[in-house]
Amino acid sequence: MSVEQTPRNAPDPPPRDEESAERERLVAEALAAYLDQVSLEETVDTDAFCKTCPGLENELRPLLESLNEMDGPPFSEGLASESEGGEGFPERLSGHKILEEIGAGGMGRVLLGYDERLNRKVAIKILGGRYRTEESVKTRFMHEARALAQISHPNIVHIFSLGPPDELPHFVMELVEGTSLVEAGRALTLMQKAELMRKVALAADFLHEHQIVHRDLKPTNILVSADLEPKILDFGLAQHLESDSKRVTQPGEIMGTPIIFRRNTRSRGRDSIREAMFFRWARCCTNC
Amino acid sequence: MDSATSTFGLVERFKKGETEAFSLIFRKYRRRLAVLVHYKMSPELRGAIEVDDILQEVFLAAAHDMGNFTYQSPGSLMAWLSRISDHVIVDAARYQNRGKRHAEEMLRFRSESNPAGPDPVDSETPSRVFARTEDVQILFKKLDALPAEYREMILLAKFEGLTTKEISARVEKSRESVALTLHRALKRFRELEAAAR
Repeated sequence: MSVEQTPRNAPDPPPRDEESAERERLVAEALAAYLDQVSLEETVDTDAFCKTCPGLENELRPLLESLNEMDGPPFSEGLASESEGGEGFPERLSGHKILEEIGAGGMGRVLLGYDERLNRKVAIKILGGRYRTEESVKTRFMHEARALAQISHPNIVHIFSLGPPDELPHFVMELVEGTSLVEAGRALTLMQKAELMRKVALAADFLHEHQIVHRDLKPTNILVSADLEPKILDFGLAQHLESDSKRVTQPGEIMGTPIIFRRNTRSRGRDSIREAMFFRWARCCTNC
Repeated sequence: MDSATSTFGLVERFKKGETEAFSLIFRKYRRRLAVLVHYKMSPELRGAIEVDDILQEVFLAAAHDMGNFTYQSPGSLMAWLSRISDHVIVDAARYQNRGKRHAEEMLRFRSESNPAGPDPVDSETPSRVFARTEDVQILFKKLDALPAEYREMILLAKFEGLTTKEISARVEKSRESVALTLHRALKRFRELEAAAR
C-alpha cells in the first residue's frame, strides 16, 4: 500500500532461543484463534478468551486491547433508534405536558406534548441521551431549531420555541398529523403525486432562497396531511450556507441517510449542493 | 449468525425492503472500509478526492446492487464492498486524470488565477472532520509507522475481516507464518501506542 518502508520500521528478527520462539508461537496461535472468531462474527469476550489461554494472558491481553481499540466507537443498532434504549422522559418540557413518544431518529426522539394554555398538541424533539455530553452534537441539534425558526412556509414544519438551558436539550414544534410520503403515494393519482412533489420542490427552493440546505431530504422526512399538504421535517443536518459558525458535523459521520447520499461527489459549492438536493428530491419522487 | 443485526440478518432485512437495515450496514462497515480505502488510494488521489467521496459511491453502488449479492460467510459482504471500492477508486483515478487534461474545470472556485470565481461554500466535509478526528489520525499514524508487511497483515485481518486461513491463501504463506506476522505486527503497534502516550 502507499507508505514507504524505511530501515527504522523493518520487521522484527525472529527470537533467538527455542523457548522464546515456542512462546511466541503459542501467543500467535491464540491471537489468530481470537481474530478468526471475530472474523466469523462471533461475540468474543476478551476476558473470557484470555482465561482460555493460561500462562499467556499477560502477553495476549494488551494485544487484544489494541485490536479492539482500532474499532473506534462501538457499532450499535441503537444509533438508529434512541427509543430502543428504554430511556424515560420528563413529565414536562417547556411547560408542556408530555403524553407519549411518537418517533425516534438518529439524533433523538420526538415526544407528543400538550400545551394546556393554548389547548393544542405539539411535537417536542429531544436530543438523545448519548449525545447530551457532546457539545458539537448539541450545537447541531439546536442549529436545527434555529434554522427552522428563521423561516415560515406552509410546507415546512413550524417551530414554536427552544427549550430553556436548565432542561434537556429540546425544541417545541408544530405537530404534523399525517402519513409518510411513501404511504400517501400509494393512494394517490399520478397528478396528485406530481402536485405533492411540486410543493416539496417549491419548499426546498424556499429553503435555498433563505440560504438553508436540508441535506437529508427523504420520503420519511416528508409527511402528508389529510388535505394533501406535504410538510418537510427533520432539519438535523441543515446547513446555513452563509454562516461558518453553523457548519457542525458529527465527527466520523457522513451527512445524510446513507441510502440517499448526495450524488454529485466530484464538485463543490452552491451549485453542487443544489444538484444534490435535486437528486434527493428526485429520489423522493421515485418513492412517492 | 442469523440474528437481526448480524451481517446476514441486515442483508436479508435490506433485501426485503427495510431501508433502515442498510443504514445499519453502513454504520457497521463505514470505519473499516474507510481505513481500507485510505490505504488503497495513492497519496496523489487522496490529495484530490476524499475517502468520504469514495465511500459514498461504494455504499450507493452496494445499495443499488444488493439484490445481486449472495451472502456466503460473515466476511463476504466486506469482501464485496472492498471489491466495489477497488472499482470506484479506479474510476476516480481515471476521472482525476481526465481533470488534469481539462484544467479549466478545476478552476470553478475563487483563486489567484480565477479571482471572479465563486467561493466554495461547502468546504467542510464529513471526511475532513473524520480525518481530523484524533483517534483516526493516530490510527493512521501508527499504521503508517509499521513495516509494510505488518500493516498489510493488520489491514487484512482487522479491517478486511479475513480469517487467518483466508489471509494465508491471499499472501501465499502458511497459516502459522501469518499468525506469527500478525503477532509481531500487533506487538509493534502496541509499542507505538506506548510511545505515543
